[in-house]
Amino acid sequence: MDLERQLRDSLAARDPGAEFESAVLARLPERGAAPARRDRRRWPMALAATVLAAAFGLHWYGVQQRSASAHRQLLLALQITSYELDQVQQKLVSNGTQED
Amino acid sequence: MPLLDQPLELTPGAAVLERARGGDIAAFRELLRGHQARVFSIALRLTGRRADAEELAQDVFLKLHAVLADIESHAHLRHWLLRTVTHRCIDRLRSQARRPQLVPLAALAEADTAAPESAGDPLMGARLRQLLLQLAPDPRAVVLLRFQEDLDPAEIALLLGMSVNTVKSHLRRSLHWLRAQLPGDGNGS
Repeated sequence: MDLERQLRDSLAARDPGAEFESAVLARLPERGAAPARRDRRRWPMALAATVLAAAFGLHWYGVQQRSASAHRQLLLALQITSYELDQVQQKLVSNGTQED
Repeated sequence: MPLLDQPLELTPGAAVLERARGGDIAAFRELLRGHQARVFSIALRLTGRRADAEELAQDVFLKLHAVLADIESHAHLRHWLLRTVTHRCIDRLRSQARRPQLVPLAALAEADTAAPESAGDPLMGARLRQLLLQLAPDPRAVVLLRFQEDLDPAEIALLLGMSVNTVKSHLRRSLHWLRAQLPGDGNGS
């Protein structure tokens, strides 16, 4: 007995009948209009936007870091200048006292 | 005519697919007619119930209509249809298996799903189709795809997301079990 041949014979495809086709067509959401093709550029565009946003973020972070560093340096310079002026003032005061 | 000498025109199947993708309802109907027997038969022989099979097969074609833009060729279309209907039926069978039901006898009676022009011994065919419904969903799908659709184990493995060895194992065990159930093989019922 050739079981495989018998399986092939007994499992031939069977048509569902004419009502099947009309049932499917009746259930289509919008007759005659297949959904629009999906935009295949969507993923590359999303990736490009992400990379762009990341690059902008990094750039902004660098700018912020440089700004903070400049701010710290300015404060230090002002502190040094203030100290030096203070020293000069003290010397001037001390010289004036000696001359009196 | 050698393939390379042929003019660069769409084959009739490709042209129909292209028109269906463009929203041509007549072309979609043509696709439906070309594949409905295959999809319905898989659903019928997997679920064993005509009502379930019709519902599942209709859902598959509605889904196809929604994703037509992503179908690239006729071979892709056939693969998509077989994969979708098989997975949906297996999911349905698994969800039914979780709910106790009193089904088998009614299902077996309903599921004599021979094509009217089936060749071979009709009684043997009916017996085989009934036995098929007693297999678990995965091996049932494997046997159907192998003998209804004439797919090889590698194609079945790809469709069902199994290894080729698993497909071969399902086939070997299912055929062994089917032989054992048939009269004249010593173990027949």
